[in-house]
Amino acid sequence: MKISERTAGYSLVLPGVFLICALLVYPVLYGVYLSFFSKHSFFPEQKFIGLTNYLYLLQDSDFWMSLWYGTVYSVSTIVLQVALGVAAALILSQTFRGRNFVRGIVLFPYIIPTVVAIILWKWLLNNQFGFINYVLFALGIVGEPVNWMGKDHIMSSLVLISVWEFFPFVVLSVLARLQTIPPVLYEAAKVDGAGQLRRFFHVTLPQLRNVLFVVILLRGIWMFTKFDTVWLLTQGGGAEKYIRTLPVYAYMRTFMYYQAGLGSALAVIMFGVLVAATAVYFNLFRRGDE
Amino acid sequence: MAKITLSKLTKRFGEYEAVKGIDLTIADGEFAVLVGPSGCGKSTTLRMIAGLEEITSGEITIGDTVVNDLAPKHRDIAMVFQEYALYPHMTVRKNLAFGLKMRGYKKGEQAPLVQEAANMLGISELLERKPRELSGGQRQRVALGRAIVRKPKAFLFDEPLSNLDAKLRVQMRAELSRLHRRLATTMIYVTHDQVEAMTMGTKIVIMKDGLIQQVGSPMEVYRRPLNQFVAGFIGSPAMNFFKAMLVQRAEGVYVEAASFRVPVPERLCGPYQCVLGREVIFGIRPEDIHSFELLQQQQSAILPECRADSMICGEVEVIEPLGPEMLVLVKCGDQTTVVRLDPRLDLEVGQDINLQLDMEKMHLFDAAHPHARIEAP
Ligand SMILES: Nc1ncnc2c1ncn2[C@@H]1O[C@H](COP(=O)(O)OP(=O)(O)OP(=O)(O)O)[C@@H](O)[C@H]1O
Ligand SMILES: [Mg+2]
Repeated sequence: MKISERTAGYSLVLPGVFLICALLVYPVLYGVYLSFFSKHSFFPEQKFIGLTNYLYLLQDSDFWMSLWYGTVYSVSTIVLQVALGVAAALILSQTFRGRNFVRGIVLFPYIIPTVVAIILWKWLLNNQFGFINYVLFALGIVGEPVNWMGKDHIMSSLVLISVWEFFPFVVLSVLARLQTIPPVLYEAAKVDGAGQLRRFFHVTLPQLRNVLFVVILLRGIWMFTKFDTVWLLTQGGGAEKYIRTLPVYAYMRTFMYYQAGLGSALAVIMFGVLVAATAVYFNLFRRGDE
Repeated sequence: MAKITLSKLTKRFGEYEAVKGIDLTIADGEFAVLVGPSGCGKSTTLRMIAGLEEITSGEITIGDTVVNDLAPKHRDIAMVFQEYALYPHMTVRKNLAFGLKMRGYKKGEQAPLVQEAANMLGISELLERKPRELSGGQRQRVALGRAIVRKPKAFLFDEPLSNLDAKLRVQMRAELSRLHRRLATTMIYVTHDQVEAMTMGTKIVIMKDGLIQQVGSPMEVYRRPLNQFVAGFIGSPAMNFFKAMLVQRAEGVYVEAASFRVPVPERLCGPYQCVLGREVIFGIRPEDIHSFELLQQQQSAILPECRADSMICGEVEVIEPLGPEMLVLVKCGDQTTVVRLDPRLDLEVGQDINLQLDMEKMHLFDAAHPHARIEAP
């Protein structure tokens, strides 16, 4: 029997298509489906309630707070990560003694497990015996210990820790790109009369444009949906409420209030916000291209 | 426009000395070509003039200014790189205008200058394109345009044509010469291709191992190479060299090599007196060797006195027809000689051939280091 090329082709991609459906399409669709139900997280009882979950959330001040916190958290960490990451990459692309050693060190925060990082930072930021407070106090910058895990400062602490943890990703991507910029471009710019600053803005930055586009996109998605770092930092402190971002809120609704439907609605909204933000982002980038 | 002088210029990279103290003066408006084999320090020298490489010792002046410690932007020179080095994210127009912008020209002042340069190079249609949308030849033109738009004191070129195909290279060579005539600006051009050096340069600087071997006009270095290296480097195919001895016989002075003996013209006997009986290197260019048969047939005026005793015999090994001429590799004794012959000559591989040397054009070099040219003191 002769199998036509077409049939053979389809049968070859079929397993892949099945896997994608099973692992990607089904859970997403099921999540959307669930958001129209009132469903207990564990018991098999569910009731179709249409858009009620969404309507409820629109009036839920906790939801709006978590959207706000999530946005503040993502935007500030991305801006700081990119600034710090590019700066570090520029330094690490220079030749100096012990460069490889320093390059290794810089990647450290990205490699150590989040749990360890959080424990480390909680310890450093402890308001009574923490190292940071000690230094600030010793230098006379603060008069009394700062309560880093308290209501006023916990968001700053979270941003600080996240930037520290994730900026090596930016360093890595940017450094890789920097090394592919032909040095002769800088020489041409030197002869053309561009000083160091202008060489950065007219040669380096345009070359980094594409990699920064991807890095910001990825980091944006990851920061907006970041759960572990935020969740772990809230453990054992009273100020949990002040860094309750959307993923944490969705988790709480689903696993603490057992409202799986509401949790799903939150996840769908999060997804929608990301899609919209990404679309705007792509558009801005394309317009900048002209 | 400016004169450029290098004095006792050296460059070290760690322990390695790439440029070993060179002196050179390039007059205002001259087209100087630095030529030499790979690694001889041409690019390093050029980059020191541009200010891209620090000077280890010595002095460079452009115009009346010592530029040793001046940054490239203050030297008022333009450079064209082998890899073009166009800014990939800028249009051709912006590439051309970049140097002007960096020097504080207003938008309104930039436009006419850019247009003028673009017209001169025939790239006005390409102004809105990005470099990646251009062919190699077009990129080369843009790179040239970026250099000329600023009207600098001098142009520096580092092998700008080596990424082009053979035909385009010939075309751009002519165009560069034309550009030089039109702008009358000092140009320094680095290449390892002696044809480029010969065709474009008004002054050729031959370098080897970080040292200048000879400076002169193209015909000067071709006719009177100061040492064996220059003799072998300039001219294609290269000059033939034979280990030989100069001997005095009853009939006159002879060059005696392993497989032949040929008489030295009387005119030259005097000057060569000093090396009689010494080992020398005898050099003769492929075009100064002729086919004895053909000369006889044509009763050629090239050699009025076709002396049978200035003839050498050999066996045809390889024939390379090039159209207007043919290169023939002839085996004389245990050495192969390249001869440039008339393609009408009917030759076959393996046949014997009699060659007549035009001894008026002979060259002699000292067999001892440093292989210097031997001539009348
Ligand atoms: N940055 C550097 N560090 C160490 N050595 C170098 C450096 N640049 C050049 N050299 C050495 O200096 C010598 C001269 O180099 P240069 O680039 O001037 O050669 P060149 O004459 O331009 O050769 P080519 O025709 O191959 O371009 C070479 O032996 C090279 O290895
Ligand atoms: Mg070079």
